[in-house]
Amino acid sequence: MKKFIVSISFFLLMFGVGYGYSADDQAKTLDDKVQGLKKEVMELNRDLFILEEELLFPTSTQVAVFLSTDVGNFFRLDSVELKMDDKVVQNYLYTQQEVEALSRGGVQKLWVGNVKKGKRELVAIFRGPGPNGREYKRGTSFVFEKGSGTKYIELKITDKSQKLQPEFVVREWE
Amino acid sequence: MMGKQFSIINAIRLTALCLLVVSCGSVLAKDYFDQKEIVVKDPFFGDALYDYYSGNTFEAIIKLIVGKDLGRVPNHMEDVDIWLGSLYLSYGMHYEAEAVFKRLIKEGASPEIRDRAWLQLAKVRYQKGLYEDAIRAIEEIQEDIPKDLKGATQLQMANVLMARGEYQQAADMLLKFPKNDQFTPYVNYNLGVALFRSDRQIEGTEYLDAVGLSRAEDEELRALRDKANIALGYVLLANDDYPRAKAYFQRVRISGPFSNKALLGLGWSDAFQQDYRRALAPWLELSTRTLSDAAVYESLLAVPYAYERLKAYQQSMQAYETAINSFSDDLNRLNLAIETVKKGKLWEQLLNNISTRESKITWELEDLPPEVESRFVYTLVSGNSFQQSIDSLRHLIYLNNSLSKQADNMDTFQYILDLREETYKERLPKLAPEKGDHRMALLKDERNLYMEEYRRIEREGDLKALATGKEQLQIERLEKIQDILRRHRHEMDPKRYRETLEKYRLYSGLLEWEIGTSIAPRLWRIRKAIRELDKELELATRQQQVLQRARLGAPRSFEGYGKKIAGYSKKIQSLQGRVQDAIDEQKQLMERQVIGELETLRQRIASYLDQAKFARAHLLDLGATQGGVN
Repeated sequence: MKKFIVSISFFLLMFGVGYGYSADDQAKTLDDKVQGLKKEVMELNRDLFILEEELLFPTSTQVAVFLSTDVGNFFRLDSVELKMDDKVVQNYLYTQQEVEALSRGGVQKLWVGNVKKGKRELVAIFRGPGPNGREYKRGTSFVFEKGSGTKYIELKITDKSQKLQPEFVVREWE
Repeated sequence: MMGKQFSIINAIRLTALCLLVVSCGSVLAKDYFDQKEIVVKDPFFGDALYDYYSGNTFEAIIKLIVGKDLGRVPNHMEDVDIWLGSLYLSYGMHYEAEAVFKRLIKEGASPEIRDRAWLQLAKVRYQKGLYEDAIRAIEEIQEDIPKDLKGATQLQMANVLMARGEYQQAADMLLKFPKNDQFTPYVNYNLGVALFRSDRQIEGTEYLDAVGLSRAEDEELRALRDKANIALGYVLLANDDYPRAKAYFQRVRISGPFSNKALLGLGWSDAFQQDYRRALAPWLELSTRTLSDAAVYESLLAVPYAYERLKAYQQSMQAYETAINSFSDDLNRLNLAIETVKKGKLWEQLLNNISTRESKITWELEDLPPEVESRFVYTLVSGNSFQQSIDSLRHLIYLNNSLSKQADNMDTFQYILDLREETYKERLPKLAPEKGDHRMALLKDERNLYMEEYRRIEREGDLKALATGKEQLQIERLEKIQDILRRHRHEMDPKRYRETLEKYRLYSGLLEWEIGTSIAPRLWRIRKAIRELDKELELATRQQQVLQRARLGAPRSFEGYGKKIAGYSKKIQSLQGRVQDAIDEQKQLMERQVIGELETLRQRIASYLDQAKFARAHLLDLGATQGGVN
């Protein structure tokens, strides 16, 4: 009796750790099929990404605004509002994951749109807890000349250690 | 008696080995590659990283491909390839990942990138079970490499060797791994396993013991610590060293994922020492827990067994009754669960949770229908194979969403195109080229007249023509004075006449001198003005040509985009059908996996039930013969 119970006990415990349904040939075939589909959909999306840009944002009028952060000890980004020539073009609320993505070196393409040639003004208003956790709202503006080529602008939030304050820098990418 | 002990010991040995094997693959869960610090030099590269870090691997891959194809990431060309390969890998696209890494290597990437690519390729091959190829890839990695890469390479090599059953070599490899690294607990665990499997139990115990005593700072490490203690406990049970086995089981957390196995082992440690009273304590505790794994089911049989050994037949009988009821109840529940899955209800909650964002598509145990209790399928669902199936399904659903979105976009693009064509047709009459050409011809004639006049002035030295507006007025006034003097000479007082004539001559001379001494700059100004005019005319001509080309090209462009959009729409439609088929196939496969799991469990519980009924009958027989049980 004991022999029977105990041997079953260990036998079942052993398989209880890792028993499972192993991937069979059908799973392998299906995996190959799924990989093929992913590749095809990616190729299609690549073509459509380019088509969308060509159709909606031609080079002659395109302006893209990127946002990046550095360190973030003095400011945690909650939201940003973007105005182009005094017209609100973007209002973005950040999730925790997106804030982390920025702090890990990611650069967000915040807005892409069409702008006529000439002198233009970009205004960005950042909101979120600032130094000492107090609600913080800061704006920064940037005047740029839109020519015939695409214009890439980066908004960068950095820590200014000397002043224990965040700093909002705007620059153009070459 | 000897046969009984042999059977138990064999079972314990198998249990111990099983525990030791299960964790081998987890070492590379925390990948060194993800920890590399990236300095973004091109915004489009950073944009792809942002998507990846935000949990949108699909979008990140597309952006990297586009960035590379359009030359938008010139400062990250090598990074893009290695990231692309890694992202393909994490997105379950092994073939694409391998192709990218092979290309990187073929194109002669920098040594660091080359080595990282070889390592990634080794990982792909390891995951595909191509161990020989994985070793060849690792052997391509240079000796002189950064510390982080070296560590990851050694770990990968050890995993391959262990998968091939070459535990001695794996142990040698892991013994070279730097101490006090953040991966040390994982390395020590695998080292302990490798040493055990190469019959170096004393050394193996040392390493597992170190893991079992380590200060675990997170849940993953605490689980690893528990696992090491459990493994050692069962190894010592197999070696008949029950007191030490007990000590290891006692180290395991009472509420951790391995506590059930620890409580069962703890009971056996005492039971093997004939102390059934002590064995009852952990087994009784275990028997009150949710029936979520084999250890808890086991306890339902172990408790009456211990009572029986203590000759507490009444309690033993009651416990067997409880076990029979629990097993019967679970068999009914399992039947219901199997029926539910067969009816295709496994996905109801999951399909309700679908979001358009890749990172939001998740599937948790809570999403199971209530009839399929998570305790029945927990092991399957948390297993690697099923998790990969969930990932595949998640990806396919995302692909389907993406295709639906693109199908909507095609309608929008076509609408925009139609609108542009309409606007073009409206504006076309205003862009009549003949009007523009005529105007340009007139402007050019005018410019030629200016040039001819300039040449005449230069040739004839026409000072009057070079005079400014103010000087022209002065000349006119002087000419009027000269005329008056000529006409009224005889009527004027001679003295007054001479004085006026003198003044006239003086001012005329001064003006002539003024103009005459600045002929060169005046001619230069005219030439400059004509040059500027030429430039403007050239620009206007070019714009005229651009306009002309646009006018002629627009219909072709509309037609071209129109054809493209139609082609893509067709492709999207075809892909949507195929992706939906793959989703159905994937769901069916997973349903079969779940049903397989439930049926295996049903068989197992049926066996438990038989066993409990057999034991109850045995007790009744005992009562009949000895009068101990009613």
